[in-house]
Amino acid sequence: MKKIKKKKGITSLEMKLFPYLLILPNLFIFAAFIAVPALFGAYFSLNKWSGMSAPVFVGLDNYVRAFHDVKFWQSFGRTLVYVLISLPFIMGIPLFLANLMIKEIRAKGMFRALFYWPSMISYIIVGISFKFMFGDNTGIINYLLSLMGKAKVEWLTQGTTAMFVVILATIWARTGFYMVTYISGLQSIPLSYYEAAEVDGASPIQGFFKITLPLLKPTTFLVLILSFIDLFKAYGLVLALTKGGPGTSTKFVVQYIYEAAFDGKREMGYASALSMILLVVMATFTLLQFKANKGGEIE
Amino acid sequence: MKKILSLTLVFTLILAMSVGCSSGNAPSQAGSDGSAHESSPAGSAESSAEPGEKVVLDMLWFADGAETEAMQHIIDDYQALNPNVQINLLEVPYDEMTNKIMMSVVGGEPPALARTTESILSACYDATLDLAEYVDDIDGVLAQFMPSIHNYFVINDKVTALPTDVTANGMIYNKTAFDKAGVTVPATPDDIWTWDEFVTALEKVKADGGVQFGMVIDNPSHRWSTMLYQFGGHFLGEDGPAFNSPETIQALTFTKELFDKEIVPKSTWLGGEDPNNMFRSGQVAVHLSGNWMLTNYRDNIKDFEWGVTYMPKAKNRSSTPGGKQLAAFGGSGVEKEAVDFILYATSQEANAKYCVESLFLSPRLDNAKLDYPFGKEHFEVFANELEHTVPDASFDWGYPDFAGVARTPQNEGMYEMIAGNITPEDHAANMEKVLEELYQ
Amino acid sequence: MNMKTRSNWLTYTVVIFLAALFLFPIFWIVLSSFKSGSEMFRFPPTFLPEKFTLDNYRNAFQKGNFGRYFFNSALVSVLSTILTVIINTMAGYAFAKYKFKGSNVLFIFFIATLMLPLEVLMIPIFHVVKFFKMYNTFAGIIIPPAATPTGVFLLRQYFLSVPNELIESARVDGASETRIFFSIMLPIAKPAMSVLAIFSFMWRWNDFMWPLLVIRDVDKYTVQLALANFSGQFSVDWNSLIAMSVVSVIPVLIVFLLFQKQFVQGMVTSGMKE
Repeated sequence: MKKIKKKKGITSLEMKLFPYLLILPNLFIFAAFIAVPALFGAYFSLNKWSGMSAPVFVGLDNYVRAFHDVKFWQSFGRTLVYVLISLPFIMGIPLFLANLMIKEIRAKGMFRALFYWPSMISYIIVGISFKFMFGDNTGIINYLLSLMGKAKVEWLTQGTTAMFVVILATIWARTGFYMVTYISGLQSIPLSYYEAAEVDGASPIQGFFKITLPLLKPTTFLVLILSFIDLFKAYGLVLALTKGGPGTSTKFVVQYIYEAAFDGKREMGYASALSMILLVVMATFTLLQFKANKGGEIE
Repeated sequence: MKKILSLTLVFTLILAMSVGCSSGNAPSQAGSDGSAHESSPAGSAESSAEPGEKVVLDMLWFADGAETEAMQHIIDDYQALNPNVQINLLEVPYDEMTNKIMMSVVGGEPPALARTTESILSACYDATLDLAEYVDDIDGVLAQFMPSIHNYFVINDKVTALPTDVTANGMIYNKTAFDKAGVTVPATPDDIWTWDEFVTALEKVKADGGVQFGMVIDNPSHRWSTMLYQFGGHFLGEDGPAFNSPETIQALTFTKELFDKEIVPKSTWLGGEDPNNMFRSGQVAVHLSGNWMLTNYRDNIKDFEWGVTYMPKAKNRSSTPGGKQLAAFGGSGVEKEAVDFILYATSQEANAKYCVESLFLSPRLDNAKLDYPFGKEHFEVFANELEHTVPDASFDWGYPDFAGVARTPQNEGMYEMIAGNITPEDHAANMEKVLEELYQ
Repeated sequence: MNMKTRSNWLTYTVVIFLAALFLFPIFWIVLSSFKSGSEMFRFPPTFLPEKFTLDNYRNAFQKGNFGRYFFNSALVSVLSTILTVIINTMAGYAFAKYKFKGSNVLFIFFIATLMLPLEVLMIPIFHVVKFFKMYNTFAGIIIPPAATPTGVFLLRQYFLSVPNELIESARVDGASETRIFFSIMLPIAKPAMSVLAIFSFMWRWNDFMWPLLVIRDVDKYTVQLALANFSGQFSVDWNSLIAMSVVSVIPVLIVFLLFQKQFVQGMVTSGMKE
């Protein structure tokens, strides 16, 4: 669909101004509390700065250092692995559930609330409850396994299984959120399309691929971008669940940045530079996705 | 839809009002706006609407248990003596303390007071007052506290804070399991175990005492360092890092064996299983932790009996001291009152009351023997551990920035070592490099 | 008819199976909150509380003025949500239905800043908050986080699927842009606005960073600030933390149930029908 063509005549001034008026309140708050601090962050990234001390200008030193920081790029790569494994689940399971949750079933509200519930729990609680459940020696999962005569699994002590638990916890905690997002998108699809398809003798599955998926594109695009960013900056849940361990097996990029900023010598300048790199990477990713999907507009 | 529009308006107004009000109507809260800031501590703030206005001191505070109430009682006593002063306890999660202090100080809203640990102080000592400038006989005051912990608050010759309690690392054991296995713990400091004897004892308890594991150690940094000192190693020396030593490597190798023999469960350091919870579950014979754990276990363990015993020795006997302090900050406008409160709270009588109620060890020499309502015999063991502590312990942990710089590489290095990816020698050498940077 | 029954039966089986999977950890948390301190970490673990106790709840509520904190959280979350829904809907509509200078660049920048770890920017944010005299005020935790890029994005995508013909025919009829937005677009956007209300309430209710940054006085604490104080230096007060986290979910759940009803009604009927 194309953007609305401008109308000629007296209303065109209104048409020009109106969108700016619409975004103004949001833009003002955003600019003041996010964009301005981000600009400061960009400035601090050119400084050696501990937060307490006076910033000392060092030019691009922090960026040069970041470029050679093997541990940073390792955590970056680790994050990417985590994101790419989780993404299909985070996009697929909620879509499946959303389709179930708009059907005419009994106690729909209750089921919706149930699937949404994990999203309402703060990451700290999600993290610790998974930690307790998957504890090697005191966790209930291993206990249940032992009741079934199976050997205990070192869930959080081995790198690979720890990553598995982190991904599982992520999916559990995020599914409800994206399910609700999908539901809102599904509701914008006019029912008449399905009725027409039904008249043509299309099965529900055909209807899903021929009508739902194409018309849901704006929402799918939304979920893609949001979940990608959301996963990429995974921090709170992982911190509560594994603290990035064992060793560094689940240490993701945002945790690495926080450690630079708040541990050790509190290198806020360096942490700002790393944040800026993330910002640029993410902006590029979003831009490319935007171009590729035409902003998620329906073709 | 006009409704929404009008609602918007109403809420914008409400918001605007709440912004406006809050910036103007807070006369009783020093430091809530620019003007109250410059007001002198004597209470002559120009914004004072009521006569006899109170001087308000904000104290950033974190807590593990009963000490908040205990401190509130000290504050109540102090306020009764000084009716013109009001002290607000502002609780902040421990993990955010350093941040909150830093943000408030840099943002021009410094708190009057804050509860600190040696690791908070080692990050914020720039911002604290030098108590020597406010107290005439500072040496006399310092002399009242255990000399071994002076390092924790006298940083670069600046008296950044005064201690309210001292902690000792030590061992809590599952008495039921030991009894069941027929193993007795040392009754006096004279017959304590060597580490080898201790491991033998643990193996016996593990086999016959109905527990899955011999021991849990809180973490690979501060708590493990107790073992390091017992084996004769240490992190830092006067002239530079001293971690890469035969003593350290012996301690590391011994530690690795404890994990390899499954005396200590890997899941604690590697898998994040909480040692405290594991001990509570009754699955572990010994918890290497500290005196702060007593209240937690008193309240939460009902299924078995437990006690406190002496830690084993290798080359030395040693504990690792820790503790909390009170610090005051420049720019709060109430510096004098803040310092006065610190002196009060750390004085003999008030401090004794605070420590008894919180079940803490007092850092004051004249409060060495306190009449605790619970676990008197436990405190004697912990106090004895502190008495037999090597000076290296407080030198390391009191060194500026040490705690922050060492924690992550130490934790991760220990993981690699226990997982078998690197040798103890590798870890000692790697840590040495990290510590060298600290000296630069 | 036969096929319909079977597909219904299948739907219920799948839904109930998945619900059970999702419920397990929640069940476990809630049940744990009714266990005594010594039972909570017993091994082998008990599933149902051996001795049902409310002590954890009682103790948790005594560790601070939680009535006050709940009130504060509710006040802040409600006001911030109203603000968020209004300004995000406006912005989302503008980005979806108008092409204006810099709209794409601005929008992408908007989204990309989601990636910034805000804690690293705490000090500059603190200064801005102080500049607007919002330090230690509720306004400081209501207004700054209201301009959520996610919300704008959500509404933008929703408006994208609204046919442009609706707008164009209204214009032909001589409706002004303002009128089109308020009388035609807003009613259509009700489902998406309900979703945003649900999300926004949850975000603000669970928010920790902004209150930590802005609030100083204890009587302005939110639930999340107070909850975080159950974690000390050496140990975490699991009993209180778990109990209070169960209680603190309730308001978010209520808001969800209220608004999800709203969007059921807003919906014409279900999307996938046999």
